[in-house]
Amino acid sequence: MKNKILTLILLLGFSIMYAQLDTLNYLKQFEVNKANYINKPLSVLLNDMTQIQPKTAWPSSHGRKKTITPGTMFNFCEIDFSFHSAITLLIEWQDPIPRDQTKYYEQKNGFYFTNEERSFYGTKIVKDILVSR
Amino acid sequence: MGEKIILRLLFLTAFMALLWSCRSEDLFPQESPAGSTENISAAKYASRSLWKEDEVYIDKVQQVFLKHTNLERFGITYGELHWDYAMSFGQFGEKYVLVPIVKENKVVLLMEAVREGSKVYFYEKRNEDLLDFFQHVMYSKIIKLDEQISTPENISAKALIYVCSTRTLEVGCDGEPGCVPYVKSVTSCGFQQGGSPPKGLDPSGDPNWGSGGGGEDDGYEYPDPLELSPCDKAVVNNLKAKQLLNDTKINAAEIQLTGTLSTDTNEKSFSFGKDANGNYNTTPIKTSTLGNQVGVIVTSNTLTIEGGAHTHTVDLYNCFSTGDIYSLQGANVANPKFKTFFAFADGGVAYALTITDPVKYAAFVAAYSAGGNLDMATSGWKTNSPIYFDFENVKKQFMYSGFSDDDAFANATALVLNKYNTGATLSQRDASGNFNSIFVNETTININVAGVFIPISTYSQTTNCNLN
Repeated sequence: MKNKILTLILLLGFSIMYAQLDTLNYLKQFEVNKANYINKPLSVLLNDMTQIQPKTAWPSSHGRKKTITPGTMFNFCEIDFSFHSAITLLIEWQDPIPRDQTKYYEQKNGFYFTNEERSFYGTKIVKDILVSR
Repeated sequence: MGEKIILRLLFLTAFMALLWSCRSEDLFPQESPAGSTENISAAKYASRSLWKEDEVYIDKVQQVFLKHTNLERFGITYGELHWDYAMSFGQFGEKYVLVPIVKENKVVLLMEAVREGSKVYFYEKRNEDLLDFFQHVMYSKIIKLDEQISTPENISAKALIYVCSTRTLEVGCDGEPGCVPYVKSVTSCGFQQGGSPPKGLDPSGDPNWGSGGGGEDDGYEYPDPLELSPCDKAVVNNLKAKQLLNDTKINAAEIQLTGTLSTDTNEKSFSFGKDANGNYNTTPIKTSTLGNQVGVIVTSNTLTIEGGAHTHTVDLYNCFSTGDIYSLQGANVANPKFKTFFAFADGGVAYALTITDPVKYAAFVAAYSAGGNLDMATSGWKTNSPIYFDFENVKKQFMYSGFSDDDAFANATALVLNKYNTGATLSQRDASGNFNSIFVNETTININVAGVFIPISTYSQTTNCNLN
């Protein structure tokens, strides 16, 4: 019985580890194929991401201007796990988004990527894609 | 029988101990300062001060003094130095001490020993308040004491870096009827330049010696000055930052620079330094003409430049940009005296970026070159720089915790400066004009999620210096 539980835990652990690695590799594909998404609305990319969707969205400072959001970092883990080596999809926007607009959604939904964020960011045009952890 | 004897002996021992403990009920029992026939001035130093003193410095100064003294003549001319009661009055870092000189149980003079670089200078100090204070410390029954450390409000441009210590003591009564305890308080702010030069004190005991403080202006060789720790340097840098912005000329330049900041669309800057007379002055104000990034003058024909200040217009983060971090290091290479950089933002906000270790700063820039890490177009970290995600992670967490964008950005900057051992540190001015360091701790723990350990970092502001 003990052995069965141990095996189950190990299997679960490996499957989670595998899932982590899979997320990174899965997202990397979109970075490799970024040409398909650059100069297009983010919704194109989001629609192609059938396996996983962002859980949170964070403004990237990306310079010294505080009145704009030049890029957005999307994380795919729970919020508490987003501050260290989290798998990040960084989208640079063709036209930086006014900071007050991104702040509005942050304050409303606490950085979570809800349907409102999906609609809002979905219309923004992608300038570049970077996937990192 | 044996047990009874042992019990009696134990009672006797306890009784003797009780008697011994009752021999003095003074809060701070004073032993006779001059209980030996040996020359007190040469007695090995062991602090008997009631406060915390810079004992390393006092010990070294005594060594220097003994190397150059004629004890007999010194005793006749001045009296005996009571090193055990020497006080540094809140000054640490081997720079300042007052040593009482006693004749016939009366403190008649103080010897002020001031270190500047590798030299120590001796001066006479005849301040009646201080003499009286030392007299009580050495010969009265002290029942209460206190010390308050403060930074002076108005500091002249020539003043050295220092703090002020206000020490208070209360002298108790020996049971005399109608006696009211006596309270004595003195403030010392270390060595003060300006005004008439202090009278030098000759360790050899020559009373007609000059006013220069040691072979006229030569001073005496001081053995191996202690190297300040990065945290001590950060404290000194913060005091210096406050002093600089309190200087009349620099303050006027700040007012001029920031007068229209709320509506400015271009950054402005000035640099500051000392003129030939040792007074601070500033360079003319520069305004950015292209890309809203203003340069800072690093060297000048008329001033020995020590630093610069620039504005951040309202569309920019209040705190220093990545470009600013590289700019200060570049300025320091071109002019090693350039060690202080201010950023002024709307609403009276001021940050100071100061150097604690120029060698580390240069090593950081060598390891993380501007070409590879600084995005010249945005003046931020390049997204492929390893620093980028560290910076963003801190900023994310502070924003999530409810900090403003500006404060989250400043905390992220502070974390990077420390984590990457840059040799530079960040501080912010408060309502009193004091600069307070911003330190951020990073704590990483591994959380077990279904058997998989996932590292989680948390970042928190701390007032404890964590510079390496």
